[in-house]
Amino acid sequence: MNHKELSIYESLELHPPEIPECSRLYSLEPIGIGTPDCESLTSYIIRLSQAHCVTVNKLLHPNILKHFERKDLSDYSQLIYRLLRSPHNSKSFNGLGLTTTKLSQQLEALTLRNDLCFLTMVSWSEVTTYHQLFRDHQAWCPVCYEEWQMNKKPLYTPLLWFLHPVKICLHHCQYLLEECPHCQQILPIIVKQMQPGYCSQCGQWLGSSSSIKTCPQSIYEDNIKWHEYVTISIGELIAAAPHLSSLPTRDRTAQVLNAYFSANNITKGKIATFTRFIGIDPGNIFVYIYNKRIPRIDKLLQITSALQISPLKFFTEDINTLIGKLQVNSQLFVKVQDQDNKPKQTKLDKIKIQQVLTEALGEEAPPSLTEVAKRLKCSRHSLKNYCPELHQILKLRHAEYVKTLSKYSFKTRHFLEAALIVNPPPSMQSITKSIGINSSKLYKLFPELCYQISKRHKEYRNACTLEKRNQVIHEMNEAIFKLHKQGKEPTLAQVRKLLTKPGYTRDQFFQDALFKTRQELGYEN
Amino acid sequence: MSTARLFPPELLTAPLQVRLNYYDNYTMAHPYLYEAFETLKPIIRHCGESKIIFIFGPTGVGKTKLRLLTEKWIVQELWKEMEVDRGRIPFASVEAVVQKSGLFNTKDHLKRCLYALHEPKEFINHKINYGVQGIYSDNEGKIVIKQKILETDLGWALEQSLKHRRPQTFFIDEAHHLLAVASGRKLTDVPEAIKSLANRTEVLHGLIGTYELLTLHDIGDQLSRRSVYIHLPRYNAEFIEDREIWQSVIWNFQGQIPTVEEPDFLSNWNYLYERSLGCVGILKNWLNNALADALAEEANIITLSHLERRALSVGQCRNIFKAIKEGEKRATEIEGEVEKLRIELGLGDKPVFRQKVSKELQQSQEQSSQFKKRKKTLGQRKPQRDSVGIETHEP
Repeated sequence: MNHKELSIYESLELHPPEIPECSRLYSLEPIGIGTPDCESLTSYIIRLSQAHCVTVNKLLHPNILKHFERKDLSDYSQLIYRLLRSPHNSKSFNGLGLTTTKLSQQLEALTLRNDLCFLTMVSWSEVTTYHQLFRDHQAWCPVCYEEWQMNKKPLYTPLLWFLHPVKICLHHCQYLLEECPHCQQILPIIVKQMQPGYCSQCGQWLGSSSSIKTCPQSIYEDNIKWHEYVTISIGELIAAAPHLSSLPTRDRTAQVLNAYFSANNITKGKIATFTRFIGIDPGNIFVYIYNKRIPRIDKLLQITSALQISPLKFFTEDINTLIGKLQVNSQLFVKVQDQDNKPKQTKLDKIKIQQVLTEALGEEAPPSLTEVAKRLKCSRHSLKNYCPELHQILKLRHAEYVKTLSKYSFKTRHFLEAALIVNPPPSMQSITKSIGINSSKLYKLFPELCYQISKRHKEYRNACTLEKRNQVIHEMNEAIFKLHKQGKEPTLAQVRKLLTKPGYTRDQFFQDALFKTRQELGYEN
Repeated sequence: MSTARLFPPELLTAPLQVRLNYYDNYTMAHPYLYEAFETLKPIIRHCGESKIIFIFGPTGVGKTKLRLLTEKWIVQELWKEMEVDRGRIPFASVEAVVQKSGLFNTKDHLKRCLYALHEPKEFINHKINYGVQGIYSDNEGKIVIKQKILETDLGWALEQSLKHRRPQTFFIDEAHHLLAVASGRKLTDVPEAIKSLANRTEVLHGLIGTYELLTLHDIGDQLSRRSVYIHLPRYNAEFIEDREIWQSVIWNFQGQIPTVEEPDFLSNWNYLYERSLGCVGILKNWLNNALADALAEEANIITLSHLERRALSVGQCRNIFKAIKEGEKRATEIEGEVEKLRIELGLGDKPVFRQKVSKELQQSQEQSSQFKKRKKTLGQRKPQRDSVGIETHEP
């Protein structure tokens, strides 16, 4: 053999390749980040669950978060539980508190992205409060949905639509809808299964053009400037968040206002006049100036609009250059007051109060003073001030009515007391069914009775179980002895054949008893 | 020729297991493997409309090694991209498994695919279909999304997963198992589904399997147009070139065997060929077993007796060879169909003028119509529907 013809072949390294760590969940790209139409965190979660073809609660299930520390995990699961169970809490998904921060951090770790915190208002958590910031339900622009679907763009919910002060869509110059046009329901922010663009209650498409309510110009044009200002301002804040080098601090509002007042020689007395002029309660302004509190979003917008500046510049621009730009303009604010339509105390009409109070007195179920105050949009205190007599009468009537109500509850009490004697002891569930009162209400009205009934029923059930078990054990013992006499070993399988209800053999008590009897008979050591 | 021992010399003093592992992990870039790898590279880089690659060859020829090699290469190619897009995976591989029943189970396969694409385990049994058809309102008007995990829902989930994970290639090893379908079900169902999946997700699918895969060659022009065939053959002793390469392969193996003395495989090359049928994988496995035996006996060299003890039986070899022969025949038929195709396409003959052809065609049609007329014979009924039922004769 001529070995010279032979050739040496390269040897290959075939160890499994080292792969950079890939994200546990798909690294889905958020829509519109860095623009006013930036997606919200809830919308991102929904899209992510859609991409994974699972429900929202499955996506957020603590089981998928194995690499988190135990402590964090329990916090997280509690958080998700709370958020998904109570629709009222779900607005904190996109909010600016600890909940939001935690949630976005966890999702960032799962998707290996670093921009999910910009899908919330977290960047502005130091300068405004939670109050009045978010809607606790969905709002949407149907034309936007229609347009996205026509152009085959992904459907999502912008963060802007969740913000309470935002009432219009700037792209289509129309009010956001807050009620499903098909089923007239208010839609929750996030539920277990949902699709953006579809009603989570009736499943209908929300973007149909037939549902568009274009606002009549007469209503609209009064407030259009204000709405535009609000929407543009908040949109700017959302868009700017990813590009900020440093986040504004808690004392920013105080700093700017103090600097402005000292630059314009406005002293304490004048501040009150000044703020009244721009339409804000002086008390509020003083709280902000002394840095006792940070302004909530609507107050903040009032201040910035009166100073003719955008909130973004108010928070981020260098103070010295900013002060030069600030000018007072009360025009916008006045429009807000009209739009809010809040009755001012000075304008409260005595005749109207009298009228409403007399109407309330005539009602079959006299309402409480708080209720009347609500109807008049004033305080209970002003009712007393304006019509002390009527106030007193209504107070008494309402108290009487409440008493009669308790008479009604007398019947219920009887029923419950009877339930304490009846045998076999009924469950609270059956009682609530027969009375037709919610169980939580019953517990609130008659806590002791309810707990006694519940306890009695529980004891009864326990006794029943014990009796049943004894019967089963008795039957088992008979079977064992029968087998033992026949010379067969009473194994579980053998015993099971002789029982009337072999299902019990799976229970621990049965197996314990079997072991014991077998031990007595010498089958077990 | 005294060959240089190709393994590191310190291995001779290493423990037994280390020596065995060394030889086990050794992979040789033999020419056919290398060639197939080089053909694969440009296709994976840019596949155009061809979304399915069929990699076929006899058993034990190195198809899985080729896959591993390609996977490693893909990771190197995509490293930078993956550092930016952390949700992307460079490749995914799954093995098509035949169940105990002897049949291929699509649902089980889809689940395996999802695992291969790094889908969290907790999700796989809870997949729902978010496609609009899965959503409907119940009698009370409440929205319901179908909860059951149907085969189609998993298919939907797999599609989404491929779209989001965007692997460069999705390999299905032992893909000939896909054809193990129950009677009554179309043989082409699964491959067609894979084709449409590849099309929709734009992910290149690599089906790796034995010659049985060629069954799919004849079905549907769609599948043919969108597929590329890569043949990874055995070394055929009928050809001189292959014999030479085979000897080199054996020589390389011989040099890598970490025994104290160098065994002489080369002089027994035809015996080694006979029981491994020219398949490098079979040979490697055989030598590996023989080495394990020799090391266990504390022998200094692998002898012929070691080899004989671990060789495949003649019956086994004949069985494998029968399958290989059939497969090779089909492969050559496919590869050799060029001439046939050319003749069918009319490239073989001299071209003629279209007018001439159309005249001839007209004439022939006239002739045939005359012929038809003449053919009608007397007394033959015209084809027409006869009335049915009992006829009533009215007066």
